[in-house]
Amino acid sequence: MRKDYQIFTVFILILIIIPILIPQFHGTRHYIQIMIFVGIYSLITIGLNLLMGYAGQISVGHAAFFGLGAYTSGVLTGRFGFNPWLALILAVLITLMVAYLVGVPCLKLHGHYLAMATLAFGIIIYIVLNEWDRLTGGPSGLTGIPKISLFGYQLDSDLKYYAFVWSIVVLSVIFSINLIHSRMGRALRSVSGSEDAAKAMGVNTPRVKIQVFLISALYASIAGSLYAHYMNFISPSTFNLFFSLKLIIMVVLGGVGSIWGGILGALVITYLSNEWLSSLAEFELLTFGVVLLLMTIFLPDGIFGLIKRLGLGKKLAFQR
Amino acid sequence: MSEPILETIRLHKDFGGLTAICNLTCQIQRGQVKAIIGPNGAGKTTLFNLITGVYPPTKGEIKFKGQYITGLRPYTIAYLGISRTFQMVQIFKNMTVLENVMVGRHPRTKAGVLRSGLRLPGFKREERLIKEEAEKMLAFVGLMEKKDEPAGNLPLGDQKRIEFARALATEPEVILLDEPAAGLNEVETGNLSNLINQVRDLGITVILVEHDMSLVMKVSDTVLVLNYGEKIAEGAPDVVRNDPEVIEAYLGKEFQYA
Repeated sequence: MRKDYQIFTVFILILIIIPILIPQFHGTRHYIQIMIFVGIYSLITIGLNLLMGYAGQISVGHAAFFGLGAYTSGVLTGRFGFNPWLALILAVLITLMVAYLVGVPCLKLHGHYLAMATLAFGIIIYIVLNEWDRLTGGPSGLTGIPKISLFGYQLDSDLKYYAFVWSIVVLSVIFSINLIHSRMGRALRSVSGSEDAAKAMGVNTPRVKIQVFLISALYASIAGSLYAHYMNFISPSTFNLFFSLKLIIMVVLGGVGSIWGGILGALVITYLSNEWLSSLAEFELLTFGVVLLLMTIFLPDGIFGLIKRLGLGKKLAFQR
Repeated sequence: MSEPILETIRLHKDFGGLTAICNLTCQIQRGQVKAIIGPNGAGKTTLFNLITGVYPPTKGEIKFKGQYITGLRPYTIAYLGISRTFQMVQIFKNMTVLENVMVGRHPRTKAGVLRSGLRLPGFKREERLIKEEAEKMLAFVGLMEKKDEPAGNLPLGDQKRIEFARALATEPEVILLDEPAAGLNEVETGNLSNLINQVRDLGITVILVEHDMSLVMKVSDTVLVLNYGEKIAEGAPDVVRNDPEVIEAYLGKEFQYA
């Protein structure tokens, strides 16, 4: 826990330094934009890491919750003129409802079956976004999504949006770290440790699994709303199966079972995607496949795990 | 005799065509140490799994403190006051020793997701109490100095003690120990029998599945012998050990003279 506070301080410092430092070396706009995406994706990977890394449940459909958040916000504000904040709350509620309906039957499954079920769910949402074109605009996308403002203050520049997105990430990090080091956090970690023993210790395992699934869906939904209001345009292809896989790669690459790992993974993958791999076109997927394979073989605890082991010795590397 | 704390009434469990427990009626008195012995496959662990709700019985009932608990979920049964250890150690390898035992406080504490995540009032106090209680249990089984180590790094004997402490942390009225001495050396087994006696002195009823007969004879008040899911003998250790049917089915001839 104390370790987490130390990392947290460093994390905040880095967040403040980035917008000051980057303009010295590069064109401001581009890198701040990337950092906004990193923040949005971090929000998803933090939740996904709670689900995968701590509770030991996989989801290959989290792009769907991201998409539900983005499209509910986009449709309500862009087409029906809702207040963005009201739309964001409604998006969260709708996503939570869908997550509950999907989670209750799916989380009874284990391992590959859970992966298959969530994957199928992700594909279904993707198809709905494509086909329900009267509402979503279909494959050509949804335009005219307004910017979001904070207490009447327009978030109209990249720098402002950077601060806004990362403030929400910071809040979600605080909530997640608090949760992990608590009764409920131990309960959800016990589920991945040994489900039988967890039950025997009075942990209502189906309920705990649903709760963490809902939390991760909630994070993804908020990320979706933030994405929609930043881009002002969304199309279904952003929320396809590949993006779900990319999220998992972010978590694994950064470090399964570490909140910080999720953020690190989002940073590395987003940067690589934008800077180096975009020229590879469809080979990008192949590259990520190879990365994932190598990671699981050589670095099962991810980049963050490696950093911890190098810096602090094996014993401390365990604490999270 | 007073009302038994735990009772099975014509309890029956089939797995497909195989009968694991057959019409078993038995009673466990409060504060006793009851050993369940029998050859491999006699249904001992199945009986534990039925009592703790891992699976429902095919027929029959289980009563705990006069109430039917048949078919309740394992976490409800833990909450009511029955805890257990496992034959194949089931510790949470992804947590420290102390955290493992802290999970045992789950049914006696309340903080939910929101109170934990937002650190709402009452959280800190409860968290401190959880830690104190868990440390007390660790001290009880003698693992205090290893409390911050990853549980998976400890040797088997210590892992079994973690399980014991974790089960005790739930404040059980009945504790089920599934082969606690398996894999332990003589010294560790000696410590274990002391622990069991101390637990009994706390007023906790102990049910013990065990193959180590010297331990069984030393700690138990009554012994229940199962063979092919049926009760073939029940009574004081001395009586059971001289029962010809028990010797035939399980103990073997040489034990008689031991």
